[in-house]
Amino acid sequence: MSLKPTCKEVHRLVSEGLDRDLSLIERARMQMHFLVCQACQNFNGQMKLLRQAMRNFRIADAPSAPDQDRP
Amino acid sequence: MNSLPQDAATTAELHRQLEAMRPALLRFALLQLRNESQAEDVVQDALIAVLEKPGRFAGQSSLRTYVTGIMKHKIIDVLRSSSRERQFEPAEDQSDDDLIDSLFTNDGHTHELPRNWGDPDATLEQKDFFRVMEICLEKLPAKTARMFLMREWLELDTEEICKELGCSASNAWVMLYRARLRLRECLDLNWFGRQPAADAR
Repeated sequence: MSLKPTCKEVHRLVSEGLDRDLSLIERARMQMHFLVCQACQNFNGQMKLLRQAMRNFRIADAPSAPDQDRP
Repeated sequence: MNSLPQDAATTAELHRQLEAMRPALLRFALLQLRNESQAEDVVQDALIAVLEKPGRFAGQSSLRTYVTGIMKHKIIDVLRSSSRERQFEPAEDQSDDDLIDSLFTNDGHTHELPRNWGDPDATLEQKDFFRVMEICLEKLPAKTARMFLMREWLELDTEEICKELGCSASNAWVMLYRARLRLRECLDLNWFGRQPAADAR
């Protein structure tokens, strides 16, 4: 483990932080990294949105043409 | 005691609305339970529960929220009451270890700047967002989807999930991480990439 965490490490910590309590050191490394990294900040925002979306999940309208907007 | 007189027309209308939701509920229950008859039971139980206790909802979207919530609790009951399949091969998603690796350069930086998805509340208000979300969930590998839904929809903790699925905690964290990466990619492509407003640099 190097002194400065990489985006790769911080991405993983962002995800794992949703599933377990991170250690103090892990949290500190992550927060320090956020200060200088827009990429990880944005990723963190994306993960928060995912969580919020699933907590508020509801089935969608009955689609009249189910496949029309499939990518 | 429910003393509100429910006139026949209202009940019939509720019935119709619930029936219209059945296919979507079933699809979603199946995603979590992976068992046709269990899924049908859960949906049926949920629909009956709503008919017996219609509650109050202001319109369609709140009825969907209500039904989805009831079904969620029925599914948790099923998962907790049965010691179903325990064999769990986490190998499923192993092939894409590169799913994680491909995001980063050799020195651990991201290849691309993840998009700013903007305000979650504004997104979740959009009528079609949950439809796209559901399509993205359906695209996950089966076991990954199950685990992700247990964690994020049913809000079970890793310990309970692993008891049910027979996996180690660290295994679960990696699979959940992969699930999130896949969902993120799918949503980014099919939702956020298509929203001109959210894309304003």
